[in-house]
Amino acid sequence: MIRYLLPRIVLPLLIIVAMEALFRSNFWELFAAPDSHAGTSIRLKQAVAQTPAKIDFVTLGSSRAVYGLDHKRIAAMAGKRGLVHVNLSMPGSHWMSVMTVIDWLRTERPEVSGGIIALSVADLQYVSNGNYELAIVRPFQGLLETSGDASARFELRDPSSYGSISALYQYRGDIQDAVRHPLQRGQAIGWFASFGQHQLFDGPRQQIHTCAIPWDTIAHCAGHIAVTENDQHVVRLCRSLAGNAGHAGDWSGLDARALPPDRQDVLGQRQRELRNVGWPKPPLVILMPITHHWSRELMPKGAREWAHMVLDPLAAEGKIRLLDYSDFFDVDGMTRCDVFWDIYHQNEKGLTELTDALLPEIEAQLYGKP
Amino acid sequence: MNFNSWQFALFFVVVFACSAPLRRFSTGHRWLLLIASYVFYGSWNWQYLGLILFSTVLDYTIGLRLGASSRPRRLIAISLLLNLGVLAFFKYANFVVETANWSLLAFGAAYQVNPIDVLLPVGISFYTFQSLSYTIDVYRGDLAPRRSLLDYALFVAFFPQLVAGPIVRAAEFFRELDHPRNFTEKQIAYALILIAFGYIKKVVFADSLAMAADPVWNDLASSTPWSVALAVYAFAFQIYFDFSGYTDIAIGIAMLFGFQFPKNFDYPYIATSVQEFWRRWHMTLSRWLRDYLYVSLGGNRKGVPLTYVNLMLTMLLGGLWHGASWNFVIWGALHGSYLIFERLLLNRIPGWQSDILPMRLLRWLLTFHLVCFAWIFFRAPDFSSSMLVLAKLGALASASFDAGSLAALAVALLCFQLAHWIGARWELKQRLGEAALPIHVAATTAALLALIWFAPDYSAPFIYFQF
Repeated sequence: MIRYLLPRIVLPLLIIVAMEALFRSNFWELFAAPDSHAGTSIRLKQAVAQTPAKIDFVTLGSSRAVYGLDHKRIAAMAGKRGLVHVNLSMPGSHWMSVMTVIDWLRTERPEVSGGIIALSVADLQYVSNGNYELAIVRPFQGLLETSGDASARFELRDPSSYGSISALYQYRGDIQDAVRHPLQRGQAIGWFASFGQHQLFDGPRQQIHTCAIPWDTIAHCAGHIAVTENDQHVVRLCRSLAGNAGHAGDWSGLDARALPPDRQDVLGQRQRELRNVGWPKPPLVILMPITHHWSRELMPKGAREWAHMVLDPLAAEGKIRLLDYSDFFDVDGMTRCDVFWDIYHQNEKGLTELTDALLPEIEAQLYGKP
Repeated sequence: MNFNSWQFALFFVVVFACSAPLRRFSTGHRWLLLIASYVFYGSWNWQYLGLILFSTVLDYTIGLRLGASSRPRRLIAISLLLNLGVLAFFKYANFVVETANWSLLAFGAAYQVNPIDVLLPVGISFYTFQSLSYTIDVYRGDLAPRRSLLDYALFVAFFPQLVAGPIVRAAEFFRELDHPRNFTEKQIAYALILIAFGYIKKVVFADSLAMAADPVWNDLASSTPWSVALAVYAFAFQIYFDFSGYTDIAIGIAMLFGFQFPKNFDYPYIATSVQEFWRRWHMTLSRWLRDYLYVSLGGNRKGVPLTYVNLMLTMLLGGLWHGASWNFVIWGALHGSYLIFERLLLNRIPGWQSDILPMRLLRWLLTFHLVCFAWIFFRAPDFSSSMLVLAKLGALASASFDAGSLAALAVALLCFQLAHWIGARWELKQRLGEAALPIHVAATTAALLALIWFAPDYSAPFIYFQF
C-alpha cells in the first residue's frame, strides 16, 4: 500500500517544489501582466538591464512619487553634470519594495551612489503597507532570496502572507488575472513592450484636477454625485476611505523614550533599514505632499510629528537627508484642488510646482554644485 | 478545527500516523479513533463534549434495554424526548422565545421573554439524528443492540462525519466495524482524489463564490437586480460546493481509516424533478427523513391526501432541522409544495415525463429554478431580506445588465453547471481513482496548484457547521 501511495503523494510535491524553483527563477516574467504590481517591477528591471550607461542615482518611491515628481527634469539636471539619474518609483511601492530594490541594485548596479526615497508621512505609520507588496518585490529576488522584511511577514493564518516565502503565491494574483483574461494578457504584453524604457523612466502625467468635487472633507467628497470618469474615480476612493475617516487615533503625545511596542517596531525597522542603505551618499528622503484629508481625517493626529520622530535622528546622524513637503500645497489648512488629480496623486501642475521647488534642493543635496 | 485549517491537517497527520501501525478496528484502533474524535470536537468547545457523552450513554443504555424490555414504547419515547429535547433547547429555544415575543407584541402585550444566552453546539443536529436512528432501528427490530459502549461511542462521535454528516446509520457503521474491508490500492487512491476534490470544491469554488456573492447578500438594498439574481445562482453553487466538498473530504478521510460511508451528493443540479433532486442532494438526510419520519407518519400507505400531508410535514420538519428560523420553515414548505405539485399536477400532464431532449431540458430548467428560488429563503438572513430579493428579481426585466462587473460571474456559473453535467456523465472522480500513476500525479499536482493559485484570501466557514 505504502509503495502504491508514496509516489502518488511525493511526486506531486516534488513537481510543486520544482515549479516553486522555476517561479523563483522568474520564469513567469515572460507572461506576467505588464500593468500589474509584479509586471511593473519586471518592466523596470528590464528597463534597467537595457540601460547601458552606469547609473549614478535613482528615485525610489510610491505612486505619489510616480505622479508627483518630474523625473525627466531631474534626469536632465543630472545629465548636465554627466550623471545618470533613473526613476525607479512604482505604484504600490512602499518601504518593503524600496528596500528590496536597494538590495537588488547593490548586486545588479553597484555603481549607484545615491538617490531619492520619495514616500509620505502616511507611509511611516505602520511596519507594513500590505501583503500586495510581496508581488512587487518578487522580480527583484533570486532563486534562494527573500528579503528580510518580506519573509518576516509570514503568518500561517493569513494566506495573503504566504507570498513572503513562496514565489508561486507571489504570482497568485497575476495568474488569476491571466486565467480570467487570457486574450487581453497577450495584447497587453505586446502593447507595453512597444513602450520602451524611456517612457517608463519619465513617468506619467495627468492634466485633470479635483476642483469639481467637494474637497473639504472625505464625507462631502464621498457624498458627491460625480459625472466625469475621473471624478467618479475620486468619489469611489473617498467612499472606500470614508469608514476610516476620523477613527485613526491620536499619536500626538508619543514619548520617544517610552513608545508602545507597535510604535517601537515601526521606529526600529525604519531606522534600521535606512541606516543600512549603504549608498556612498546618504539617501535624500522626501516626504511627498499629502492632501488635508490625510492629515486631518485619515491619519492619526500627530502622524507628521511621529514621522519626524523616526527620521530626524537619522538626519541628525547624517544617515539620510530629509525634506518634508507634506503640506507644500496647503493654503490656510486646505490643500489646493488644482494640483491633485485624486486624493493621493498630483497632476502635471502639481508635479511642475513641486519639482520647481525641489530641483535646487536635489541639486544641492545629491549632486553638488557643478 | 475546520477541515480547511492547518490545525486539522496536523491533527489528521498525527491520528493517521498513530493508527497506521494498529490492526484495523482492533480495540486499540477504536480507542484511538474515539479519543481523536473527542479531541476534534473538544477543540470547538470541550464543555459540549458532555452533550455527546450524554446522548451516547443514553441511547446506548436504551438500546440495550429495548431488547429485553416489556415496554419498549416507553423507552423509545424517552430516547426521542431526551434527544430531541436537548436539540430543541439548544437550537430552537430562542426561536420559540422570539416567536412568542412577536406574538405578544402583535396582541398588544408589553411583556417580553428574555432570550436564553446559549451557544449552539456544532453538529448537534447531525449526531442527534444519527444517535436517534440507532434506538429507532433497535426498537423496530431492524438492528440488534450493540453490546460495546466503545463501538457505540465511536459511531456517535467519529470525527470525519461528526459535525456535518453524512448521517450514517448504525447498521452501516457497525457492519464496517464487524467486517473490516480490505480497500484496494485504487480505492485508496479514490479516497485521496475525493479529499483533493473536496478541498478544491470548498476552498477554491465555494469560497470564491462566497467572496463574489456575500457582498450582495450583505447589502441587498443597494444591489442591482441582476447582481441579486446572480447572487442567488452563486449561492446555489456555493452551498453545493461547500457541503459536497465537506462530504467528499469526510468520506475520503473515513476511507483512509477503513470506513465506507454512503454517498451524500450525486450531482443534484442535473435533476429533472424535485423528487430526483432530493435523491441527489444531502442523500443521507433525505434517507433519514424518509425512513424515520415520512414512513413513521404513514408514508403513502394511508391514501393520497394523507400522503401529501405527510410529504409536507416531512419537508417542513426537514426545513426546521436546518435552523431555527421561519425562513427555513418556508424553504421546507416550498420543497414540500414542489413535491406535491409534481405529483398532483406536473406528472399528469401528457408528455411531461417524455425522454426527448427538449422535455428533459424543460424539466431540468424548471427544477433548477424552483430549487434556486427556495435557496433565497435558505440564504437570506430574515424574511424581510427574502422579500427584498423577490422585489429585486421582480424588477429584473427592466434592469440593465452590467456586463463589465457581472459577466465573469455569469460565465463562471455556466461553467459550473457544465462541469456538473460532465462530472455526472463521465463519473470523473471514479475514473480518476482508477487511473494510472501519471494521471494521479497530474491530478494531484493540478489540485495543489489550484489551491495555491485560486484559493481566495476570503475563507467562509462551512455552511452546514451552523446546523
